[in-house]
Amino acid sequence: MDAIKTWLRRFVNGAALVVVSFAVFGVSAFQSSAQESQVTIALVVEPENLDPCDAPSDRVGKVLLGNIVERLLDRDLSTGQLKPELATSWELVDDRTWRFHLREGVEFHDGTPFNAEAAKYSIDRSMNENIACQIREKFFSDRSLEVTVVDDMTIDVATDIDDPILPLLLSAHVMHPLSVPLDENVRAGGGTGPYRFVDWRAGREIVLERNPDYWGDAPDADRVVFVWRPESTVRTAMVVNGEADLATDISFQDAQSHQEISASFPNAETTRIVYYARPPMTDPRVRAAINYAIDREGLRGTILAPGVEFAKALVRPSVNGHNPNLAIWPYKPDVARALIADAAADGVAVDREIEFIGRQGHFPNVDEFMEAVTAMLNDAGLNVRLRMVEGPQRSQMMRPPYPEEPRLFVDQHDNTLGDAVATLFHKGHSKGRSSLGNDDPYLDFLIDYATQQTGTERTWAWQRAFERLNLALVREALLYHMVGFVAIGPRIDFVPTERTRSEIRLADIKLK
Amino acid sequence: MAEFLGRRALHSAIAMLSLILFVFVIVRLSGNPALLYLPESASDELIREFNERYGLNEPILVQFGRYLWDIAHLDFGMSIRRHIPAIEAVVLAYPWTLFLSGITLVLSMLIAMTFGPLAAYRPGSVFDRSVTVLALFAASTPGFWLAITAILVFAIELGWLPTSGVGGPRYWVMPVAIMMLEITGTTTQVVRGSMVTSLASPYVKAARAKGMPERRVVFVHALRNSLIAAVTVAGDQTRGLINGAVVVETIFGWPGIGKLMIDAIVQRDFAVLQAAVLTTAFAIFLLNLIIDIIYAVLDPRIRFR
Repeated sequence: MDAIKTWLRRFVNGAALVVVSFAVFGVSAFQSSAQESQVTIALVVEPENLDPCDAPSDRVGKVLLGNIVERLLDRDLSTGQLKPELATSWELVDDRTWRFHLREGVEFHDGTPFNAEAAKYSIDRSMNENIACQIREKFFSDRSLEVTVVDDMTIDVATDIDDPILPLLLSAHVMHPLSVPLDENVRAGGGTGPYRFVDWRAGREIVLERNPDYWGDAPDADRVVFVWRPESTVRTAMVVNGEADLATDISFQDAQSHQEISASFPNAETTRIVYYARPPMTDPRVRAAINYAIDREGLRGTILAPGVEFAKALVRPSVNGHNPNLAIWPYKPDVARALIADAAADGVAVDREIEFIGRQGHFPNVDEFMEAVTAMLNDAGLNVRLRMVEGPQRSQMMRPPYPEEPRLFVDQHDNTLGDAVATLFHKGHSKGRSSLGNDDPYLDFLIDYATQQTGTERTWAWQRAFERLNLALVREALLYHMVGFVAIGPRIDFVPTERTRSEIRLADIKLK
Repeated sequence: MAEFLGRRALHSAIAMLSLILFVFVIVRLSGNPALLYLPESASDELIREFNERYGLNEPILVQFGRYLWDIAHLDFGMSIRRHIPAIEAVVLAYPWTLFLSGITLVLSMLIAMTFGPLAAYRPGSVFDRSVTVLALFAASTPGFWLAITAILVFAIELGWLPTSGVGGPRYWVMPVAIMMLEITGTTTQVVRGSMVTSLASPYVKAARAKGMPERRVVFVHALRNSLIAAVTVAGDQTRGLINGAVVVETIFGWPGIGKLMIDAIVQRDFAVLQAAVLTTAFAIFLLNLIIDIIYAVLDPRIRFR
C-alpha cells in the first residue's frame, strides 16, 4: 500500500505540475534569452543519469565533465600533454606506483574539502565491481588500482602491471565527495566543478548554477539549462528562435541551411571498413581492391559533410601514435576490378556473398553512405549485400566467436584517451576484443612493445604498428575523420573542439 | 453489472498477462543491454558481471517468473540507465501524456460533433464537401512531416509559437493541434456518415412531423443515435493517441510516456519499457471499460452482458 501511495502522490504531483505549467500564462517561449546570464543548451537526448561513474558516456559527459566534476589531470588537446587539474603535480615513485599532489583549498559543492581521502574514495568507487561504472568498464576492465593516502593532500596509485601511461589513464577518473555512496549508483552526484547541480525535471531539463566557491576562474553564465530534442531540425530551430544558445549534433543539412549560426568541429570519430579474417578477404589483393574501389572524394561533400578529413590512421592527429606519413588510398576502380579478376583467376572465391553490416542511425546519412559503398564494391567485382542492424546486434556480430561467412563492417572509433593504446590493443592485437579474428605476430609484438615504452620511443612504436596494420596487412579501409556541427546563438561565443562530442565545457562559453 | 465488470477484468487480465509475456520476451530478443552499455572492447568477464548484476544471466523463464513475482508485489524493477525505480520514471511521464491526450480528445470530439452533423444536414452541399475534404486531409496527413513543417512556419517564420518544450499555453498549441488532426478528421467523417443515416430514419421524420424544432431534431434525436459509432471510433482513436504521442512527444520534446518508451527501447532499458507497457495496457483496459459503460448509457438496448 505504501508503494501505491507513493506512486499516487508522485502522479498527483506530476499532474499538478502539468496543470500549473499550463495555467501559468505568460511563461514566455523565449524564457532562456530573457535571462541575461542564463545559457540554454539543446542536446539530442536526456542524460540517463549524472552519476560520476558514467562520465565517459557522451550523453552524461556533456553535462557532467568539466562542469560538475573534474579530473585529477586533463589532456591539452593542442599538445597532447597532460596538464594539472585537481592534481597539481605527479611523479613516478617506482615501476608501478605514481604519486599525485592534490590541489589545496578546493571544496566540493556540498562544502566538504577535496583531499586525499576524497580522491582515494572517488577512485575506489570507480573501480568498485559492485556498481555499474563506465570509467572502470571502459578504461580499467582487466586492471586493479591500489590507492594509498600518503598525507592529507597526497596519494599514491599503484597498478598491478607496469604501465608507463597510468597518469593518462587516471585522467578518466573524476572526483566526487564522500556523500556519493560507494556501493550504489546514483541519479546525480556533486563535484568540485565551476557549476553545481540544482534541479532535474525528468524529461524536461537539467539546471546548473555557477559555483560561487570555485577554485578557478569564474565562468560567465550564472545559470545553465540543458534541454533535449531528438530532431536536429528542432534543435536548430531553437537556436534560430532564441530559445537555445547552443545546440549540439546538428545535421549536415541543417548546418548548410543555417550557415550563419553553425560551426563544424572534428568530432573525434574515425570511420573505417573492417572485416572478418574469412575468404575472400584473406587474399591481400581483395583487401587492396576494397581500398581502391571506394571513392572517398566522391562521398565527401555529397553524402558526408564537406569537412570530413581523409584518415591516415584510426586515430586523429592529436592522438599519440598517429602516423602522418601514411598515404591515403586513391580511387582507382579499374585497378580494383583488375585485382579482383586476378584473385578470381587464382581461385579466390570473390563471388562469395559478403554481408556488409551497417548500424542504423550510426552517423548522419549512414543509409545513403552504405548503399553508395555497396555499389562501389559490387562494381569492383565483389558480391556484397547490404544489411543494416541495430547497435547491440552489430556489437554481438563483432565479438568472437566469428562465423565462417564473410562480413564487412562499417566501424567508427574515437580515442578520447589520447594514446594509441586505447585503439591498437583492442582493434589490432590478436588478443584484442575487436580484432575480428585477424592475427599477425609482428603486429602483436609492435603493440606489446609500444605499450611498455614512453615518450618518443612509444610514439615511434605506435607509428610502426599503424604502418603494419594499414600498409603491410591492409587490415582495414580507412575512410574519414568525421566532423560534427553545432548551432551557436548570437548571445554567446563558443568554439567547438574535438572534445565537444563528449563534453561541453561551460566555462568556455562566453556571453557577449 | 458486477458480474460484467468481473468478466471483463478477467478477460483483460489474461490479455495483459499475454502482453507482459510478449513484451518481456521480445525486448530480450532485441539484444543484450550489456552490448549497448559496455564498450566494444568489454571482456566476456565484464559482460557476465553486468548480466549477473541485472539478473540477465538466468534462463528467461526464471527471469519471467521473478518479474511476475515482483510486479505482484508492485516492484517494477530498477532502471539500469536512470538508477531510479522504473515505475517512478513512468509515473513522472504519465501526466504529460494524459493531459495532452485528454485535451486533444475533448477538442477533437467537440469539432467532430459540431461539423459532422452540420455536414450531414445537407449531404452533397458545398459545406458538406468542404468538411469531407478537410476531414480526409486531416486524417491522412503524416504527423511527423506536419510537426516539423509547423515548427518551421509558426515558430521560425512567423514567430508566433515556441518551437518545442513544455510551459505555458503557447507550448501546447502545436502538439495538441498535430495530435488532433487525425482523430478529428476520422471522427468527423464517422459522425457525418452516421448522421446521414440517422437523419433519414423514420424516427427523425416522426419527430419533424410532430413539429419539433430542427435544432433539437438534429443535435438531440439524431446525434444521440450517432454517438455509438462516434464513441467506438473515439475509443480506438484514444488508444491510437499513444502512437500519436510517440511522434509528437519525440519531435516537441514532450516529457510523456511515448517519449519514455522510445528512449527505453533505444537504451534497452527493460524495466522502464515493461513498466510503461504494463501501465499503458492497464489504462487501455480502463478505457475499454468506460466505453462499454458509455454504450449502455447512450443506448438502453445495450445491457451489461
